[in-house]
Amino acid sequence: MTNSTFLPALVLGVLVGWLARSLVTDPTISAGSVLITIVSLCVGWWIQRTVRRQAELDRVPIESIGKLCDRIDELIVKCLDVAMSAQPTDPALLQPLRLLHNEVAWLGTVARALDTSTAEQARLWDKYVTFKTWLTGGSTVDVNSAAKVGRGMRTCCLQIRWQLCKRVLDRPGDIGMLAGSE
Amino acid sequence: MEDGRPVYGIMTAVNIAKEFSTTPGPRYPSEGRHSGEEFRETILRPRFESAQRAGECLTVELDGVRFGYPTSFLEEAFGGLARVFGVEAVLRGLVFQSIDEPSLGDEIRRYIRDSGKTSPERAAK
Repeated sequence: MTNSTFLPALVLGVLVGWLARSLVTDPTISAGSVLITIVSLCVGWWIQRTVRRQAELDRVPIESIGKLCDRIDELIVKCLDVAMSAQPTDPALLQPLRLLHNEVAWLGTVARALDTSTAEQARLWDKYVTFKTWLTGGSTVDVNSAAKVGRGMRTCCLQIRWQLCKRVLDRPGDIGMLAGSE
Repeated sequence: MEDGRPVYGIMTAVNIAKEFSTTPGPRYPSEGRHSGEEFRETILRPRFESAQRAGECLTVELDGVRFGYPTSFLEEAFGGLARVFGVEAVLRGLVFQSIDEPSLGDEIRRYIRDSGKTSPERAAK
């Protein structure tokens, strides 16, 4: 529960407790009880609206990060699939590698903007370069070695995704830092 | 410079797509057209030497290729340059520009730094 909802929740708890106590000690409906009931309902409504709104807002960056990591996974698989029958200079292999490059770079931008997962991002980048080297660094494609590195990339992605999501949930306001990044 | 824009073919800039090929190829000429070795020997190395003599950095513009760069091309071109002139001199003397792949310069710098490592492909030549 964030600070913005703790105080209203406390107020709601006090009001409900006061209402319950007054109904127990004096079951007759009085103006005071009605007023407390109305105020309690209003505060409760405001709390649930704030909590639900924050949950919906939190989903936006979390889903975006998830889609980005899923995209990286898909491109790794696509590169390996194409590599089974491609030469190192084939456009069919170079195109998805270029897309993968940009997606990994963007994930790095997000991680740096939120000052999170920078070590894992550096590892992911290193693995990407190694992955590309196995596929396009020689006169033939080494799919087996690339696949091994690809698995390492997907593990790195999962770690980064978890850390970024945790960061967004812990400090949701910081997602605005992305606006100042490249 | 004309109109404030760099004029290609003069010492301090090289545009791979416009001056060499929009489809960079393999490592060696024996493996195919538009190889990294050909690029290095016909364009990159003379231009780098000119820039060094003028005391300037050589700007390498990487955008405009159709499908991207194979590692073999980049490593042979820029790693090969580092094997001739030294890693530090090449890192200091080259500036990379790319909007399509903003981190491509970082990738090339890694190949330059690793240029001293043994490569089965180069050992077989």
